Amino acid sequence: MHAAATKKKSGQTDEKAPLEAAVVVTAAQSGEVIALIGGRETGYNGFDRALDAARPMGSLVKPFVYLTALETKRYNATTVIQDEPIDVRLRNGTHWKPQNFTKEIYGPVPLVRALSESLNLATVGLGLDVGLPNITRTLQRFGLQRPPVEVPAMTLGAVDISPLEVAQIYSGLATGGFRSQLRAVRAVISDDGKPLKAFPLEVTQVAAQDAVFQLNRMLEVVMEHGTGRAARSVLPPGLVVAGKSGTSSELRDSWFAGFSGSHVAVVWVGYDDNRPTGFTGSSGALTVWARLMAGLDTTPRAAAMPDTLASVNIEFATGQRAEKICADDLVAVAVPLGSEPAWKPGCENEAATLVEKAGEWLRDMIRK
Amino acid sequence: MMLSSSLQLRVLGLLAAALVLTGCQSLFGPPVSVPPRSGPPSGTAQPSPQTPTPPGQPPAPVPTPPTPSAPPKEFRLSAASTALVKQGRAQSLKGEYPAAIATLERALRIEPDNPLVWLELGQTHLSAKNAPQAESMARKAIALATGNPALQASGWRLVGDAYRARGRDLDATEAYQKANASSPR
Repeated sequence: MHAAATKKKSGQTDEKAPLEAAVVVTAAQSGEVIALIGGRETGYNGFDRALDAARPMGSLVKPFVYLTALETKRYNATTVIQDEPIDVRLRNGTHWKPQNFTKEIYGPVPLVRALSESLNLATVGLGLDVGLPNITRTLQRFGLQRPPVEVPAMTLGAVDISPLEVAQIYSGLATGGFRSQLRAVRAVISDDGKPLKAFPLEVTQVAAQDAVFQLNRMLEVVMEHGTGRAARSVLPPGLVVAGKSGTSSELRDSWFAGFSGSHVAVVWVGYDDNRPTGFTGSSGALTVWARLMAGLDTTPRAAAMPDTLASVNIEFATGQRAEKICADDLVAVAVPLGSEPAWKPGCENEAATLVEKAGEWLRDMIRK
Repeated sequence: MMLSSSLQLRVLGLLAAALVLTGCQSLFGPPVSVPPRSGPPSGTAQPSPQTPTPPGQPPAPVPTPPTPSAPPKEFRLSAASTALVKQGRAQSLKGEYPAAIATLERALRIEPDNPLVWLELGQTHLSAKNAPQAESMARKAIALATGNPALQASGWRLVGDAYRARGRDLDATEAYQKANASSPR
């Protein structure tokens, strides 16, 4: 496993450039560390980037902003939020004016689209609404060690973190809201096989199952429609995965973190001296992540939907409820029962007619 | 599109309803071949199933789900896990709890998503007087047992037992109520 991961990493980068990378792979449910790569020189026993590097996490923080929003129950995946210019006056009197990566303004967008296209302005607005201290608490519940500086830029990932810590907090998502301390050692055993010290699995519930399920469904949309979709051509068909890209300012750090049914994988690509890499999370780390995932013997995500939720199809652009016969760009999201969005105008009747017809066909079939 | 459209779900729902009507549903039953362990009694604090609605509160609205409920999801232990669970119980009976837990964690490595293994681990932690971990493992089992109310009820009973072991009787009662709501005994 370790060797395979090393190969994947070096196969992706120009051997002459001192571009560095770190990779962490863990078993999703048990939190056991399966592979840990601290840099190009895997035998080097000094600075291990996977453990010791503290780099800005960029948009890897966004799932925790959106989870905090879902937990308020004022938002769901179809809630329309505004992607609009933001000007925050900071305590020191300066102004902070973030921009989208594309420098465009997207206007009204459903939550699921804002997350899967990693829109900055919509996310900052959402983060300020749910409250920075609440986002900090969410991150710490999931296992972030160093408390972030509570400034609006934290909603875009001005939070220093190591690749192993990213694996820790994403494990809590992969397990549906249960945190287990990542472990590399199960037990220490004496010469004659007697256990001297055991490190048993410990689990703590850190978020409600239905909130995490809603978020994870959105992170699956990231892989189908959003910044993770380039992985699709590399991954085996039918391997359902969830994930998020991350890019720090001026392309200094390229991240991708995500999970299948059985594995969590985190990839960081960057320079030790903090030079810009020229890679976004999607163009750099994701290509490594996708090949790594494709090479693992892993299983698709298959968590059962809690019965407090309903699965609905919505139009990606608008968040309106729709079906294939009346919309092109559909995504499936999970929302709390009773929070299903309004139908796209004209769509409901067409869909209802089809359901009615299907019912008739079925009754005919059973009579025969 | 990786997920069934709600349209397909509705059609499936109709199909499921048709199956129920034609009497094809006999999926309940003991999901494990391992005999049930004798744990601490969990029935003492359970309220009567006919708890009346408290005065002043309107009766809970009956939700009309968009799809008729599907048959319960079944969970079974693989042969390897069954052997490990038996071994774990034997170790547990001898009071060798760390060994029992290590054995069950091996079963977990084989099938990490099986709520039956998590329930077993939770029971063992409770026997080992580690009630907080017993509760967490039970909650994990409940989450993984989505779609099987009977198994979720076992999880809630274990949560209740774990609370009671810590003297949190009110929380325990609430957990037993959830067990009864999931799957009345």
